[in-house]
Amino acid sequence: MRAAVTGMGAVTAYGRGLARLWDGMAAGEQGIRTIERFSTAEFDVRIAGVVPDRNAPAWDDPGASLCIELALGAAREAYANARLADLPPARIALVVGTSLGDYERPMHEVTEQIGDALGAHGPRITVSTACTSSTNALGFALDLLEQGAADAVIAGGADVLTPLVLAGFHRLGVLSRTPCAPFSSPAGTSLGEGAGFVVVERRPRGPARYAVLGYGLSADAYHETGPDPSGVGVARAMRGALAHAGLAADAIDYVNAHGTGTVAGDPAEWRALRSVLGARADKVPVSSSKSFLGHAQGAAGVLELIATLVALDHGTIPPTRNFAGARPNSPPDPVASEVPRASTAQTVLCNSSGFGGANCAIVVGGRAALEADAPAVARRAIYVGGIGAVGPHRACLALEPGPGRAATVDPRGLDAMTRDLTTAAALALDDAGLRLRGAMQERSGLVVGTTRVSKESSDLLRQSIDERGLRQLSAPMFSRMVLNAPVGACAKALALKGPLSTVSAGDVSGLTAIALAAHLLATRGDVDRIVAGGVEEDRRAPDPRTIEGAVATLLTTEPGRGVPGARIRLAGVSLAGPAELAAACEAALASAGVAATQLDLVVGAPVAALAHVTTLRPEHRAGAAASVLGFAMAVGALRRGEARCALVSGEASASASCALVLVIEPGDTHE
Amino acid sequence: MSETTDLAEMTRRVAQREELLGRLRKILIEHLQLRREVDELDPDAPLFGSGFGLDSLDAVELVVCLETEFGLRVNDPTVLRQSFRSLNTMIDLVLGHAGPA
Repeated sequence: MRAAVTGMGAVTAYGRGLARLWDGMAAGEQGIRTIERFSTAEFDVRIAGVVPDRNAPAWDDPGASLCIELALGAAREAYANARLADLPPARIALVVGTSLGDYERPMHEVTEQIGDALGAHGPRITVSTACTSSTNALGFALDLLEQGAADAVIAGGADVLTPLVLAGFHRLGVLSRTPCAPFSSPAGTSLGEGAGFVVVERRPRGPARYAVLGYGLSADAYHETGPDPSGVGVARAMRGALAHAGLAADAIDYVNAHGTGTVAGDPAEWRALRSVLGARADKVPVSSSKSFLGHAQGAAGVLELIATLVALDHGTIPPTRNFAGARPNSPPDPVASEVPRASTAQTVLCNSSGFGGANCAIVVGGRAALEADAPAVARRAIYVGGIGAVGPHRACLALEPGPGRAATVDPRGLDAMTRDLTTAAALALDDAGLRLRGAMQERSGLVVGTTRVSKESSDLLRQSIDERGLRQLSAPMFSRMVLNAPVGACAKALALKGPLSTVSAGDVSGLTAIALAAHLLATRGDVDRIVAGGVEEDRRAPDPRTIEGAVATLLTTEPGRGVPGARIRLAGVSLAGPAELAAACEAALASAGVAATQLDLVVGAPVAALAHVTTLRPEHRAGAAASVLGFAMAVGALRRGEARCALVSGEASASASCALVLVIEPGDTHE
Repeated sequence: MSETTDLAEMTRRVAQREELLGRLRKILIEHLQLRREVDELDPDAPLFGSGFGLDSLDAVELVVCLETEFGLRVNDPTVLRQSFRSLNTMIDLVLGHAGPA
């Protein structure tokens, strides 16, 4: 067992709490209802899975921060169930998955506010990968536990239905006028909203009934909003989850599908399931909870997982409602019913897919899984294969100006953020001398830290709405209102089809991305290299030190280029709470097996205990890219032989502290 | 009919096409962020795939632009598919709907 589920909480289209969720499901209620919170007069679609006690017009107030209110409702329930008050707050981490957050503020500030309100003072990480956000958040929670960054992680997500979201999906033509009927007719999805959180622990302090066994991430690298119709991207995430769980596909006895109900989405997902489950796919029940909860966007994945576990608790599996005959390319057993079906299912696969080509699958198990040992993890060594930077960062690193393949990045239709990120990532691949061909692409990932969507794209979206009205908003610009849009576009441009994610942790967003990528590489069998980095678009305000640009590094399990005959190893990684920088540095050194006395370079915030060591600071720089700049500076110093062992650290006032240790290793002469 | 009238008519039609081409190129550059010079956008190049690299989201935006810029509401997917092949086929669509001017 990787992690036990010790608490859950949910705010859904049925109302507040786990009990209400079960009552609604058991009674066969339809959670998708007429939207009353805001006017839907200009749309053809007026329904969604809106949280019932927040559907009145009075709640349509952007200042009310409904996202945080819903998140706190669900997180407090989970916190109380798990009796987290017994743990030191610094050992409780928080991972929040949200597609759009509360709009105006940078993503990580939403998570920070939730963390403060809950008293979770371990690392607070925001995952924003559109409709896979909360599923991915739960996946990263497993990694934080495995790294020892926390004793318990509250993980999940929240998203709110707004007029903009309704208008965007309406414009894309993917909404159904009646409550959605996944795998059936009419085609089209229903939006929703809500919040769900689970508490996971490695060593449960109380009774637990379920375990999260593993998760998998992948990129379609195909389209901004639509799925790859072949389903191969989705299948990669599912196989990754099974491998991480140490299970064969035969072990799965129920699938809670993404099942949006759209013409493009359902068949792609079914093709993926068929390829992963083989002949058994025809016998395994596959249902979609969106048929009664609606599509709660970034919160959908965790809410559907919680609905599944609540149903299993009552010896049932959730149904697919509104089913009126199968569409072609649909699962033969969609659990077509208005109410849950009696079942002895124990091992469940939950799948999510989202804008930007993000896929995330997760495997959970019951009692038997709780007692089983976690699959043995053989940690692989990670090397820094290359670095790349654009904007003022490039000049700062004094990198040679040979853009090589980066010059071929096609800027058509890309906003500044996407252009910068893609160019920096291409430069990092060039620097490592890598060309990704065939199967290599599927084993190459991308994990990026950033805090806000492109201002250029959001201004154009605003302009299209001002000029033409909400109904006629620009579909391409709407698709870029998810934080992972530049990351998905970069994955597509460079054919990075392996694990894909987008995270936010204030000024340490970029370093956090590196730390999470390093853990994926060190522990997973489905990836060999990951481009990790940070990107920021120039905004000047609120922090004038924030500098536009992107910095990326190529991390690889294959030895990288270093000073002649040597290579640079990312030997230690640590994430800790916002006030725990010293602890993060200590933990990173310990995981690297390096004594503080061996360090000859510190980059980032000065560490009191290391005052005697040369300390570099990326002066006057802030933002997601700048923390990676410090990492790249350290790599440069090691390459030039100016240092042999470096500590790179960063802290963000209320999100997290992060520390990484880089060492020069002698080259293996036998290679 | 004299040759001069034919010539005038032809000149007028060419000017009309030129004017529409200019407006459509502007839409591609401004709304779809096609980072190209105006005269780089070959009126016969494919809009999607190997040509300008547009995709289905851009197609949604083009449908809106036809409506807001030219007052054209086109819902027939076959007509759209044929008309969204190149800038010239889009010009045909706009002229066809505008009727013989």
